[in-house]
Amino acid sequence: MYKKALLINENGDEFIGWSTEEFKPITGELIFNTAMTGFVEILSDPSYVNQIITFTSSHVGNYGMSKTDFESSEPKIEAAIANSFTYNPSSWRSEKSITDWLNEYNIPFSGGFDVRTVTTHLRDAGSDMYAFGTDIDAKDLKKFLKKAKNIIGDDSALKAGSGNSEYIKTKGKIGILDLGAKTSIVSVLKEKNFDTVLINPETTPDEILSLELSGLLISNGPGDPRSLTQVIENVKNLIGKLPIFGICLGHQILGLACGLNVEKLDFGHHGSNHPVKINGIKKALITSQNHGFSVESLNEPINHQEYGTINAYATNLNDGSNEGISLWDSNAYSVQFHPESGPGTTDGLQIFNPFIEMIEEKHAS
Amino acid sequence: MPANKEIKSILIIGSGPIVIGQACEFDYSGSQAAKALKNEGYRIILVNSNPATIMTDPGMADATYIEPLTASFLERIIEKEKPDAVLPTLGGQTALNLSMELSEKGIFEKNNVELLGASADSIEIAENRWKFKEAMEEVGIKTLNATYAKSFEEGLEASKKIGYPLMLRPSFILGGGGTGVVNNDKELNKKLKDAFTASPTQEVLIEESVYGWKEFELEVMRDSDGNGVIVCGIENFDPMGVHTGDSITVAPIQTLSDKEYQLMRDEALLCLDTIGIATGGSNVQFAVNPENGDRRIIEMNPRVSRSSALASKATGFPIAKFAALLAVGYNLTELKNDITGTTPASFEPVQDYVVVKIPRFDFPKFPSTDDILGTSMQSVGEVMSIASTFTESLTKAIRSLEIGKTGIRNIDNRFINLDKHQLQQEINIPRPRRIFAIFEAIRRNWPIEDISELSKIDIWFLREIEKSFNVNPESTPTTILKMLGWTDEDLDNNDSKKELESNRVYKLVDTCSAEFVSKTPYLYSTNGTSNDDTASKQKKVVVIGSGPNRIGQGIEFDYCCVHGVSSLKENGYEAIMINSNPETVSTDYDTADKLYFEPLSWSEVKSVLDREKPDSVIIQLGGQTPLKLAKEIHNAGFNIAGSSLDVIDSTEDRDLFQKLCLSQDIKQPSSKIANNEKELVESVKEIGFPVLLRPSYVLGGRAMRVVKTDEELNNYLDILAGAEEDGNPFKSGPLLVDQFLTDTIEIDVDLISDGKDVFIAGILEHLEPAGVHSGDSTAVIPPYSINKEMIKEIEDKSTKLALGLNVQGLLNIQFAIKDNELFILEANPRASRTMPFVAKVTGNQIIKAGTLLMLGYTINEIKDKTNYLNSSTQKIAIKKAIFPWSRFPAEDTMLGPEMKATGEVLGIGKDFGTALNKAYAAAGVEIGDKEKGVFVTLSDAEKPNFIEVVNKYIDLEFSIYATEGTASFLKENNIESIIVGRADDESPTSLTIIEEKLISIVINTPTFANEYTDGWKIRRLSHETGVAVVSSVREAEAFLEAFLLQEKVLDDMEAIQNVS
Repeated sequence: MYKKALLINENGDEFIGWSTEEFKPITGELIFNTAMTGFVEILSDPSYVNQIITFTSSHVGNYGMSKTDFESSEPKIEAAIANSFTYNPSSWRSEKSITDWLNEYNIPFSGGFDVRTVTTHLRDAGSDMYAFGTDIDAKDLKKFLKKAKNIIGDDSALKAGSGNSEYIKTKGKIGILDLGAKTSIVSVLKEKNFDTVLINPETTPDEILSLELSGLLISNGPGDPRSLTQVIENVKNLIGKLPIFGICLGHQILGLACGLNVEKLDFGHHGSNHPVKINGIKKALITSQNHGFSVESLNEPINHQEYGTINAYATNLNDGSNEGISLWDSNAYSVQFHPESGPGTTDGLQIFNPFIEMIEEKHAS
Repeated sequence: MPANKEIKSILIIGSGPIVIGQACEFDYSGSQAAKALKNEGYRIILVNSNPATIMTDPGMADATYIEPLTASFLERIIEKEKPDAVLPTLGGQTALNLSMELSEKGIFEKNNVELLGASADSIEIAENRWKFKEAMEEVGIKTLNATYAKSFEEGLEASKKIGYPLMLRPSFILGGGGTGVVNNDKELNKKLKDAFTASPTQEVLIEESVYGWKEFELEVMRDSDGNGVIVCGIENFDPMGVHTGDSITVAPIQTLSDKEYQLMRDEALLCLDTIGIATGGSNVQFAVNPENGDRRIIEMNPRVSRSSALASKATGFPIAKFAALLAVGYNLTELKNDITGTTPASFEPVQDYVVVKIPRFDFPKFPSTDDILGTSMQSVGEVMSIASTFTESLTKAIRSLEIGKTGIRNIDNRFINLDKHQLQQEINIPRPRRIFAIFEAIRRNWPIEDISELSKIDIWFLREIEKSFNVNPESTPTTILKMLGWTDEDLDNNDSKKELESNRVYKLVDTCSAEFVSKTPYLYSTNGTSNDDTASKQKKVVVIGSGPNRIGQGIEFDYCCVHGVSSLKENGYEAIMINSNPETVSTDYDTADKLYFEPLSWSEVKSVLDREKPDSVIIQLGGQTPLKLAKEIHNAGFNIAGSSLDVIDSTEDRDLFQKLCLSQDIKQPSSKIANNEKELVESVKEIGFPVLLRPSYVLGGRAMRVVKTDEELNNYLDILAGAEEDGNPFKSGPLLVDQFLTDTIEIDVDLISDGKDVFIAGILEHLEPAGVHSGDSTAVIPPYSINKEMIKEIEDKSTKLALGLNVQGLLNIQFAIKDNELFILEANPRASRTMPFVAKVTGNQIIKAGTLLMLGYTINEIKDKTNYLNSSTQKIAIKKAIFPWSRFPAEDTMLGPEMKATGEVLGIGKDFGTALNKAYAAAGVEIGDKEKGVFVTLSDAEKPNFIEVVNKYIDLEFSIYATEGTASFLKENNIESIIVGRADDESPTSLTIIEEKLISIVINTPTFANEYTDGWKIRRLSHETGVAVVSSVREAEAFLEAFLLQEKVLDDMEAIQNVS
């Protein structure tokens, strides 16, 4: 039997879907993702903590879940809504259906939504906190919004990763400042023959430096980067002291450390098809994106007292937004998109090269 | 890089006539390219032999040549126009092959013509399967285990090594002709021989077979900076083994994970890089083993293809347009995404809907052919549909096919009555009807795994369909029902129907799943809660399109729709198009002001009309399809533009039409209706042989036929009886018996009328004897053998009929002249197949004018206010039909009253002979490339009629070859001939003389029989080797005129812009 599934925000904007399951109400930031493949990666990406994902793709879960595609150990989202979820997947790699997988973690989901209407609304009105529930009336559901976490000031990145604070044999390894790092980042470095160590984000700069890491990668992660004040401070003290590469939230942290502004985007970039132009690379990259905040655009280079020249490194060709900065004088750079893919094209893999060149002291700034 | 301005002029080569495997999608791509490059300021020279195309409209290029697509004609055009560059990648395989030929002959080099998009070397690598294989393996992309054979013997040996099942693929062929799966030694000999015959280069690739693997296609765009994007991924519902053109296909890809998809994407881009495709659109095809994901690259087309047209329509990304712009130096980051208008073209479109394409077949027209689908394409058209789920989209696609099916739950009794074994067979063997057998198996609750095992169709698709059969409509929300493909017709009660209908909303195809605002009104209906756009309050007209291409209703009608739309736009109306055919120009989002990509079934059309509330609905332009909706449109209270419902009734109802003709003093051949054999015999006796017979309800394979003797009559009855379970030929209804006028000249008249005045646009004279369907015949404009008085009479009678009917808009009339008497055969109050061609050669834009007449303008007003009807030129132009015989090797190529042609070519000249010569050349018969010989083989009755014409051939020093009977008759008439033996005799035989190119024409009067006679073999071989075959004195005489002028044809070429 079908039950009405409901999404509602503080303004009373509501969307209806149809679910065959019953779920307890939850809240989260409602966003949309336009990728047509990669649901396993998306659902297990720690950057989606506290978010309700709207899949715009018509059918989700067709090929089933496979652990080899995980970006972390489990699904991280608050809820998933779609047009249609596949209960009986088809693939030689499938281990279980998306529906069984989400049920296992008590993560609500529902099909039967007019996802295009949801997306259009988010595009025009901006993303917002929504409550989701099944078989519940709007008034009751709305009450849950009071308990909802605010998007602004959300510091869940501090707890999103699995990095601990005890480290052994770190010399020469790449440290990943773990704000909710995706498995793909580790895998890419591993494929390039680098050992990595996950670092708790609250680790002090001195401690980090004492680990004798070959480089530091500031990872992706959820929430509002501006709330991570201590992390930003720590990074400020690390720039120039070892090669640094920031990805997504890591890019925003590096930007903030350089004194750049970070603002919330109206509805963010979530998908696998965004064209990005990189300085020094002729062709545009088709990139994987997942962020709600953005670093201000650099119209011209900034001369930073301590770090030297800060340049724009990458630009989103859709809206001209900042996709990367470089501090070559200080051996640091960062990108807003996901060069490690997972999901998405492999176009971005080459963006790891400057980091590796820095580590190998071959990078020409 | 911005556009290359060193190049000033560009030659675009079209794809020629519509044939299976190469249809109007290339008119769509050619038109897009021409428009885009002309906009950039280039001088465009365009060549195409197909007059029914939008691309050959005078405004599309600076110099348009409707000339044969052969090396000699192209060489002359290049010398004349001196283009700086040629774009070979937009006119299908025809343009690509022709460009390769011209390149090999050094013609481009000699004339300093640059090849844009791809170099000759790259094309060679992509097209030669062996070189392709080598190139792919070098960069680590897996191909099929295969060997390349240059001779039959090599082929045999290689086949043994690879083992069965294996696949034969001849090099340089179009749409897969001659390809096939071989399962055992027994099949090998024949199929290997066929493959070698099909390959113009005598090369055949012998491969491991991947029958039943998943099949995917990626549409790739690349620019000179190396930007590469996948525009669209397509998954075939029918797995490997069925030609992708004959497969149901789905976009986006449904059953691949991101990891597998990205690996495939990487390989597709690497493939283009490796082959050296500098810029443009290509499609790359893959097979994936469903057991373990093992992947093979199958092929890549270094050009815009049928799938690119589909991909463009499926995503809103105009591949051909961009391919043209990239070829002149732009890159993707500089071009804007047309649909959003704000974002760049260097992105990968995403879809928040599912697109389903289903091919449309015409097997009943080819009764000797089994309708099993294989690796050689046999479909004649396709439909596309868009909706939010696979099942809803599949349902809409089935509705779009116009085969009387309302959706997936509407299963024929023929399947319901099958036993288990029969149904298993139906699912196991791929045929056009397999999908319906699958529905029946699902309805019977067969395990989905079993159906998947039998069909090799991925279980995901089958499970989605299964959901539709497993729901209880009472307890299921309407949204879900609609998502599962339920339609009005599936529901019993009116309230539920209404609720289902109220769930229908209109969404945009926008390339980005609503991430960005899109202003392009390219719409589809689906279930949902809100509409993406609203109807305007402007003065507006809806044009209903012609649906999928089929034999008899093809590109010509799309041409008419496109012209109708431009007329509306030029005259201040909002033009709204509804159509379901992805191959066409009419479904380009750039054509109309608003495009609804929808099935042309009443429920969908009504819904559009309800929301748009148009001032008028145009049903005269899309052939028979919109006419069928006339009554419902009228009854629903919408205004039909122009000629009323009565006009349609008066022409379609036999009695009403008879009355009308009688009242206007227009003669008709006599006719009867026979309800049983006794009545049939009586009717035939009364009318007298020959008669034209046809079932009143034309069903599969049961066709019209001209019957001349009792024996032929019995033969025909046997065929009809064979199609019925109880052997009663009258089971499905009565037979219509018409007097068949022999020795007649058939005439087509195309006219437009405002109800008071008539403008006769063209009178066409057919070359073939009566009894050949007008769509199959060779038509000459203006008439070449009819006297002035008769022309006057034709004009008078046509005018009388048009006014008598009160036609407002278009009218096509078919007449026959017998013994200087005029008979009317039929009248159609709509656009005709010949109107585009008449418009093009007369220079009068009759469709545009006709459209205004439908809206109440008068002919005088149009003459005053527009330039639509002010041309006075008239060239001599001859249309020749093009047939799909090569796809149907079991068929007789003899022509009859049922249309078999898929396309047409045009020959234009200062005189009749030149025009005919060109028409032949364009149809693949190069008159001058053979010895001067004529082969005469006649039926006894016809022999005396041909003496005179044979003597004319002798006067021109032709060698006369004849079969024994004909030879002795000729001898009695003092004509010496070389006697050739029967097909299975020692050489020379009727076949060897054709094979050895000793003759340039066969004069053969066919008789109707249900077997493979010598005549059958002669006709087929002639067709396959490009030898003219004629069956009447008129045609034989006409051929001589063409023959005499062959030295001069190349001198008689002019761009159509210079003439009118």
